[in-house]
Amino acid sequence: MAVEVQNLVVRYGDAVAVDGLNLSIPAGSSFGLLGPNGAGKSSTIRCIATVQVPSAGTIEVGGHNVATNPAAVRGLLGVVPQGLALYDGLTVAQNLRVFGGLQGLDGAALAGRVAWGLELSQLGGHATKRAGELSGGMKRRLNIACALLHDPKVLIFDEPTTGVDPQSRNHIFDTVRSLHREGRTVIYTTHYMEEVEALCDRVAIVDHGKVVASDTLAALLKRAAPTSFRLRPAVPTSAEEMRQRLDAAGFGGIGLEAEGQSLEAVFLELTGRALRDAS
Amino acid sequence: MSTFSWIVRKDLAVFFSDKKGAAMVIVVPTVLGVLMGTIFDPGDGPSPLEVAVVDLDGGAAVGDLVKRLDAEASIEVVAMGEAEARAAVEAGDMGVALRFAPGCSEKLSPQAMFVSGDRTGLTLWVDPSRQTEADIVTGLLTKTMMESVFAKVGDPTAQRKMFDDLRAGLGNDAGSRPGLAKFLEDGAAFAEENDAAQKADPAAGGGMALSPPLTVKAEALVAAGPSAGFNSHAHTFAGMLMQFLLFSASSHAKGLFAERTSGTLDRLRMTRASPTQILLGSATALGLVSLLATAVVFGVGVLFFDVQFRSGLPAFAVVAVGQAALTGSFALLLAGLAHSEKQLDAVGTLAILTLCFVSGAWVPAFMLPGFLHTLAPLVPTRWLLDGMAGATWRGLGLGHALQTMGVLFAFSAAFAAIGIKRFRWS
Repeated sequence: MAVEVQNLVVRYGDAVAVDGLNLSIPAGSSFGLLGPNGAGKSSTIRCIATVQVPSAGTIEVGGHNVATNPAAVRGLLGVVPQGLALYDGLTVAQNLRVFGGLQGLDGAALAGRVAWGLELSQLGGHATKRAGELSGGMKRRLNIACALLHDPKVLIFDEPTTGVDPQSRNHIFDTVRSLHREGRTVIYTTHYMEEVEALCDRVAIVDHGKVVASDTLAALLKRAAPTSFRLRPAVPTSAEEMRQRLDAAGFGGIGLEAEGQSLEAVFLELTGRALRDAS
Repeated sequence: MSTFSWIVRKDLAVFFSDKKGAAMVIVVPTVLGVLMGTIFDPGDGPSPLEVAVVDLDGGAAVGDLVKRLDAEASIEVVAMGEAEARAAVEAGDMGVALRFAPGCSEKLSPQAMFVSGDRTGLTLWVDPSRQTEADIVTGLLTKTMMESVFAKVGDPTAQRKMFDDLRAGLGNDAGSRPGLAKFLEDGAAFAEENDAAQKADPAAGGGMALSPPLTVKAEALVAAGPSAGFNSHAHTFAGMLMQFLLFSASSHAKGLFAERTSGTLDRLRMTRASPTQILLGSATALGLVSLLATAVVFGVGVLFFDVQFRSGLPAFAVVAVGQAALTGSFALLLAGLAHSEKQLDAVGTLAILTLCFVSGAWVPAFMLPGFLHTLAPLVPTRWLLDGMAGATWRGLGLGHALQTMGVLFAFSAAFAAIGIKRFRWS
């Protein structure tokens, strides 16, 4: 297992944010952590990331106990925080250098990883711009790059697409997929079901501080009775003609909705998939 | 480069990313130090105290006394009418006024020192907010009054009158007090002899003159030597710089709160840096800024205002390092004690203003109440200003500077320990 959480409890005074949570995240998986606000996702992530001491329970990352060997855990983990944890007064390159240096990189190795980070975030042309002057999407990309400089094996993305434009969102998805393809374990927390469906092969649903379901995406989807079926015509046809065929076949009571016409698809078709601010 | 170094480097980069703000930390205390030092520069001597004098007597003795008072370097007599003087003191335009009632000249006689009687007639009107001035004037007035009277004792005519008046005052008691009567009679004979002697040889003087048994010779003492003196700019640069560095520490603590809110603090904790390294690194960065500011401010002092390191540059550097430690650790203390920006503003302002006031940065330490002198060893800023004075115009030597640094390090260690222990990371 890449990450093993057992009986995790997190209390804030009298409030219990995580109430005996158990989680097993296989190495190399792309793992979605879903849950409503206040479910305990962030508290769980903070405990895994070693920035919060749990009230009870144990956590292991790559076989290292978070409580007894946090330094080893931090070397394995790359956490992309939900907030834009950047130094607005420093340039893009300075931010990368600081966080890379703090992860133990130095000299040529650091310079190399900074260049890699600029490439990953497509901010090479903005290296000398202050982080505070970047757009929201650019800041998100820099936020991701700063977490990956030390080549971590386990990545945690905490709602990384909050407030970004569709192009940046797609770029983030591509980055996540690419990192996963390299064999890293990806843990992805979000409110958006479609993001989990697009990126993750395993999902845990958290509510009231507990895991209420944890399985492969396919297995979880099978739990709910389908409310719709997808018809795929062999030959492209219009919705009107499809309706007529169904009525003729005696399926007049079935609702018909055309797919492939989402607003996002129209937007990307009209504006293009390429990042507008890429360098 | 070590993790700790990266934290220091990061904080320095963030500090200097705001170039104007960084410049203010250095420019403002320099400007204020120059201004205050120039205003309070004693130059050739302190400005004389203005004293209003209301002479309702008009006699020679009061006139002589007022003339002697005006001759004192610390006093400037301003003749006024009674109503005008009263109004001036009530309005605060004058700190002190002297009112000589009619009959004061007669009371300013040598014989008045020996007999009980009416000693009223001299009133001191005082602005209660300027009691120190009243004390100075009272002291000088007593001195000049005695000098004026003593001078008369040396005058044979005054001597004879003194003894004649005393014998006349004895009156019917002469029989019951034969000893005193004989003394006064002999004294009158003595006065006659002096009178005759002076008439025979005027250069010889009156034969008997009274004067204070000891003359006072004022000598400014500075460890750096007789040629050294008080440099007001050395004092004000130290005071203003100290104050602004403390405010910078408060601002730095606010920066830590901002990092907590933005998430960069959590991000730092996910690196190799330990929580203690993060906080101490941040404090160290501020300490380095403190050293830079000290170098620039006192550099201006040395170049343009004759500030000298009379204990040697190493001694000054030692005190500056102590100041740097105090500044950085004070930021940690504030960040640990306050749990919000509002609390920080309140706690920080209270702490800074109190530390500056009791250290003597605004008001000379000798003017502070006695209990504050007792508390002085507990005030790190007092040690700091004393250390700065010892390293500059007082020239108290390297030993004094090392002692100052030791005390400041002790305070810094305590501040840092409290701050780190109490700091809330989320």
